[in-house]
Amino acid sequence: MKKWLVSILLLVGTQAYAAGDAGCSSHGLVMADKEVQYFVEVNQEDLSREMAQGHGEKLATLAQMKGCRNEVAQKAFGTFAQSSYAKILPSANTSATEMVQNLNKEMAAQGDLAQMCHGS
Amino acid sequence: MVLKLVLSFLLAAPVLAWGRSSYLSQVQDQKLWEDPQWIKLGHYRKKWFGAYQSPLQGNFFISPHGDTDPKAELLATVNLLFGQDETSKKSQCRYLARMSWLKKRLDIDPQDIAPCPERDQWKKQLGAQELYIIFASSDLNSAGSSFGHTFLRAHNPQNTKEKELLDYGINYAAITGDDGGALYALKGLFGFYPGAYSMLPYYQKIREYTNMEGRNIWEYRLNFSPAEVEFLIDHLLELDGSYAPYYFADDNCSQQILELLEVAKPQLDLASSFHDFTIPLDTVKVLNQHHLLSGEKMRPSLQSEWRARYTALNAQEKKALKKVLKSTEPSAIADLDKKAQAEVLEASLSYLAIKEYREQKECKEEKYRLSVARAQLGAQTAPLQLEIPPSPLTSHDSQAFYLGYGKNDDFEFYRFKYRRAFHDLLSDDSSLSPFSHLEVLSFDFRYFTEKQNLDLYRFILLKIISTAPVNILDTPVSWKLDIGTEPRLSPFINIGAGLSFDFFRDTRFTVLALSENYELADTAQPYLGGEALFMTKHSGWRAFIGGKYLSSTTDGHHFPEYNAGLSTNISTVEIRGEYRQRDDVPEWMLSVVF
Repeated sequence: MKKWLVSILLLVGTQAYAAGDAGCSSHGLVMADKEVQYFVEVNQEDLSREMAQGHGEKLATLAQMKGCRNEVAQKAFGTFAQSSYAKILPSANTSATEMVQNLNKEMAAQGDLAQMCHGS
Repeated sequence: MVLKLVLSFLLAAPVLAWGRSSYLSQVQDQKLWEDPQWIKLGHYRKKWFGAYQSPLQGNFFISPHGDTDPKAELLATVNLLFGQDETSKKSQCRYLARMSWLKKRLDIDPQDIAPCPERDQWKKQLGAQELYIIFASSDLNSAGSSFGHTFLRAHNPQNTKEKELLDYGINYAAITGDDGGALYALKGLFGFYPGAYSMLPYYQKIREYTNMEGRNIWEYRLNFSPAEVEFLIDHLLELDGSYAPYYFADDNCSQQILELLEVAKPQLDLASSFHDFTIPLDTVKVLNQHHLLSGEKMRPSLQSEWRARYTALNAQEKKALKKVLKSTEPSAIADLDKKAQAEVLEASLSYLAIKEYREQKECKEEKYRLSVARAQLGAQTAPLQLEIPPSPLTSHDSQAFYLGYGKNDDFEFYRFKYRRAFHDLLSDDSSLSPFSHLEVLSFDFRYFTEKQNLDLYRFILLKIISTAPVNILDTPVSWKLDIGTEPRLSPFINIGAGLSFDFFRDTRFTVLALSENYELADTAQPYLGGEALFMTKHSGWRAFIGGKYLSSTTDGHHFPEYNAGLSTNISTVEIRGEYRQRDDVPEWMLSVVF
């Protein structure tokens, strides 16, 4: 009884307990070749904002995933993403898949950057 | 030489006895089912008279009585894992943690140990060597979120710096399906939902909290060795397919995470220190008291980021922000210099992102226009430097005892109060929702010296005051709810709603429309009225001053009420003074809270 009472209080008072995450088994690791794609899919909104300002944590993560290992290369990646913003995201409805394709294409066209960031 | 031969024969003798029956007798000889780690592996909890019960259901137990009988379960485990057929080999890979524990406790022929290449490959990809406990703290504008949420992060050392976002989060949650509203609430209360562990990329997991719910994330490295981390991961794998009834209050995320940690460090006794309900914030503190935490890192929520950006703008820029959000045309702020334009645009993008989550509506086009304009301005800004709020580890205890002395009119009294949880307007706000009140289950007794009687003065079932300040863009509602009994067991419900303003730093001014309803069991006396409250918390001192005016809806009686409070801490003890004058009856009170 006490347990129920406390439960009711907590529920009414807090809504603090996150539920959810249904259907994801513990086997669910992201396949290595889908890593970038999935990362962009989940974080597209944040990435778009960080690209517009030219810096940010998720942009730095993406830079590392694209092979930009040191800070200079990551900074260069940020500048590139900012200046190529409209090419990587040509419209408000650009999908994550298109975004990754555009990113790859634009990056390949940047000789210096492609050289700094390789092995992706 | 002969001696050597004899010796080696003697040494080899046990080899002949290897096999299932040997392992069973080794288990019997050592009474291994009493081993603390075996008890933790089965998530057994001690019931009355020393009986065991595990909440786990699903396909976890091998013996039909496995959930109540650790011995039967262990014998069934050895029987299953060391048979001669393929099932045994498969089962060894199914019960990785049990197997790993048995390998340490028993003398096992290496030939009886099956390789598990698939599992090894999976674990290699996960690469978990370190473990972090992640605490999602409260949303600054919501008193109700103060308890927080905890989960784990399995860290792969190859994920250096920002790449650590690619780690995996391990979460324990109720699997609720598509249920919503009342059904969700009811089922959650009575344990109808199965609770289970799940794993998600860390960046996906924290997004729920930092972006959608506006909670800052705190990370602490757990002092676990790589071997202990591996054991814990092995155990998680063996829990795949099993579940436990999820109770919002006690068998929740935090309780299960503590139990999980104990599986890998069986010498710990963390989970049993929580009896009635397990507040996530308290579990993090318990881990700290056991010296299991090192390092501390905060990841700001989108809301914290927005607030920092907004605060950094000057008056002219704030006006520009409003303008650009209204028109969503970058040209609206063309009169600012480039750097200011960039800052205003970044703030507006943060704002729109929050608005999308809050109002569940997309403003893609608007965001896109402003983003393109921001990108065109070039570098301009440096990464945002946020002020780190006080650590959750420094927040006050959730339960408290109050001892006090006071005078009601001319009658002196002593006060004894117990509060199960959590926080009020005179408490230190460290890491909690500021200027909020969240009180669950408190009993306030008074002993009047003249009448020489001790009586329950007030019981609070639930009291919430949630305040969020108005700014130039938003007018959030501040509200209060107060349910309990006063005097003695006479029930009351008081509610209020209104607005709050932050005119100066470290202060908040709140005005509310009120409905107070006392004597609900008798003839209800509904009063309507208003309240103004001014609160400040600065350099260790907390104070408030407030006034109400209430008018009866039945007999026309109306009266004012004045309130004031002042509080500070002397080491871990809080000293507070409170004054109240209701309907011309003055009352003051001095209390120590510990």
